Amino acid sequence: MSGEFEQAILFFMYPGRRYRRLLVLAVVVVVGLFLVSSVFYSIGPEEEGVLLRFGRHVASTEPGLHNKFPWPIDQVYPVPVQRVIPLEFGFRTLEAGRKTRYANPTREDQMIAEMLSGDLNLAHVEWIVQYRISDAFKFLFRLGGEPRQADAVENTIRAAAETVVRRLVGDGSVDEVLTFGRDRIAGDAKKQLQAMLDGFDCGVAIVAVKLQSVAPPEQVKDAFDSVNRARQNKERVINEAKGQRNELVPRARGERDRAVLEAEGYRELVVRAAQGRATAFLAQLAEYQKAPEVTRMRLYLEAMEELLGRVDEKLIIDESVRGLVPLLDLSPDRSAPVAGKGGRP
Amino acid sequence: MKALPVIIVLIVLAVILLKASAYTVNEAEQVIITQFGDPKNTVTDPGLYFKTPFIQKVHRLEKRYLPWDGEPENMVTKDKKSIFIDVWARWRIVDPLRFYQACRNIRGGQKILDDLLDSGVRDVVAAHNLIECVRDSNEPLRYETEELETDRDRAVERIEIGRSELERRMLASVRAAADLKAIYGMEVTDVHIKRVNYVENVRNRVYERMQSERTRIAKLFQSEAEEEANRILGNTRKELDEILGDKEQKSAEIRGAADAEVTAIYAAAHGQDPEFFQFLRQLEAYKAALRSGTRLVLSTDNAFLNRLREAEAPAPAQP
Repeated sequence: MSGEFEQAILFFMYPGRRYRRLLVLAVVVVVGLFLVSSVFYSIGPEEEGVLLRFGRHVASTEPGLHNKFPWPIDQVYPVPVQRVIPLEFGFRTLEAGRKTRYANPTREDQMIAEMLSGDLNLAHVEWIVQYRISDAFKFLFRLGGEPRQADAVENTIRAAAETVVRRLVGDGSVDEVLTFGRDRIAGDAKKQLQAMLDGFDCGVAIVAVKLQSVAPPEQVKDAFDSVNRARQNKERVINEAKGQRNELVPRARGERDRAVLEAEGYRELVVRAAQGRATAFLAQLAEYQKAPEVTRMRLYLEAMEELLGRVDEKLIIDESVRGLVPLLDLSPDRSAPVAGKGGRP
Repeated sequence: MKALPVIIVLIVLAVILLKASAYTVNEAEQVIITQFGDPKNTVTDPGLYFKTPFIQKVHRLEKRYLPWDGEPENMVTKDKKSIFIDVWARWRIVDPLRFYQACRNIRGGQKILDDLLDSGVRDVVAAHNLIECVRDSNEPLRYETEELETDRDRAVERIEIGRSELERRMLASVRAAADLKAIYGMEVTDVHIKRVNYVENVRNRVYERMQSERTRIAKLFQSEAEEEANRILGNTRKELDEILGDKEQKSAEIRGAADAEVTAIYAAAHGQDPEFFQFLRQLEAYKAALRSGTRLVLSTDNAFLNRLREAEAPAPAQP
């Protein structure tokens, strides 16, 4: 038994020629493969390669297939420089698309979103930052602290972004971030964030900063809405009052004008009628004055003819007849005026 | 061929020797070489270097800027407000040897900073009002509605230094607390306020204040609406009354003038012979007043019916 064991050891220590060659061949192949994989590398279309020789930066490579010295001499780090990467603050998207789904906000999300405004009110602000790596070398070798370099840089961008946005929101009133100051804050945030990161020289370019949902805290939403409602109501009430005035006053003016025209019409009417009658009278008078007695008698007799012709009941009594009038029926429904000199009971 | 094992062994030995004496320093590193625990050399530039194999050891330290993000802390401001503040900072190792001796590694460095930054920030916060942690300028606050802007009940605080300057003072405070470079081989380059907020149990009071502020404004709108509407209606009433009065006056004037004119016309005409007018007018009046259905009792003693009695010309008389 020990003999076999010794034989096995002897075999490995002193392999025969054939086995020796095989072993050498195997070693050569393995080393060769290792070298080849270490010599050739490719850089993707949206990447830039940072090449270190013995740890020192010697070149940056474009997309494509390249070769280099094998490790440990050369090492290359591909960095995605074309990609635009979004960072979300105060919320998280689960699934983007036509119907975007959002995650339930965590404690951390709430804390990121809630911020103080310049009038010491609270607002809930959700926003996004889009960034791009502008300098691959700086991106890799300016900031440290995390095993994954992307994490290290993103942590810094996040901290800087929160600082900048809070500084801007904290300077204005709560109304500014809720309504009319949103665009300005987003624009200033982009500029200030870029300035801060440029100060860090970390090779990051900010593509955009956008405010998403901005609202007063849940607890005070109603009160804020009531202000809007009250303002709109005020406008409505005032407009109604103005509308009433605009309806009533012109109408009243119209009536006034109409009444004036009517009065003028009346004036025309009565004046002309009077003038007409006056003229007629004067004409008649002129005729009368030419032959007064005759005209007077004529007019009288004509009038009487017409008058007594219309009257139904005529009772003609000579004045010398006495005692008749008291016997007349003077019941109330028959008018019985007495003409002439008669009528003495 | 007999020498082959020897060659292999020699190659292996050479590789081991190389590995033990050559080392690289990359762009992100700075390196201390120690010999039996004693620091011998510091290398900060990237490249290929050699050391004494086995005896000397390589200790790698971070050359890049490192973040310090403290736990959010409760602090009290000068105006006795309890706030919740989250500060972050950037630091780096500027003297690797010193750092290695004082802190050993990054973890050690962070611990030193925890203490320094906490007390530095706390001191600065306690020396300033809350508003200094929030605002950066004294620009007047603008609101959506005029009513909010001129709301006199709203307390407006002014800053003396502002948020950005406060951050600078925090940095200065940390730097003044200890000579970081000489003692720990570290340098802190930035301190910033990431988050600042009221403490949890104060927030409800803040919500209440915000609510009452807005409710007050809503009520103000309401009363303004009423006031304005009433004013408009009042003016409308006045205007309508004016127009009505005008209407009555003009109407009456014109009609009155017309009536006067008519009276004048008649007077002028009838006045030329009042008696004749009366004669005509009476005849007209009889014609109009005595209509069918009337019963007349007449005497023959008048100019119309006297012919019934006699044919002679009567004495000149008028009925």
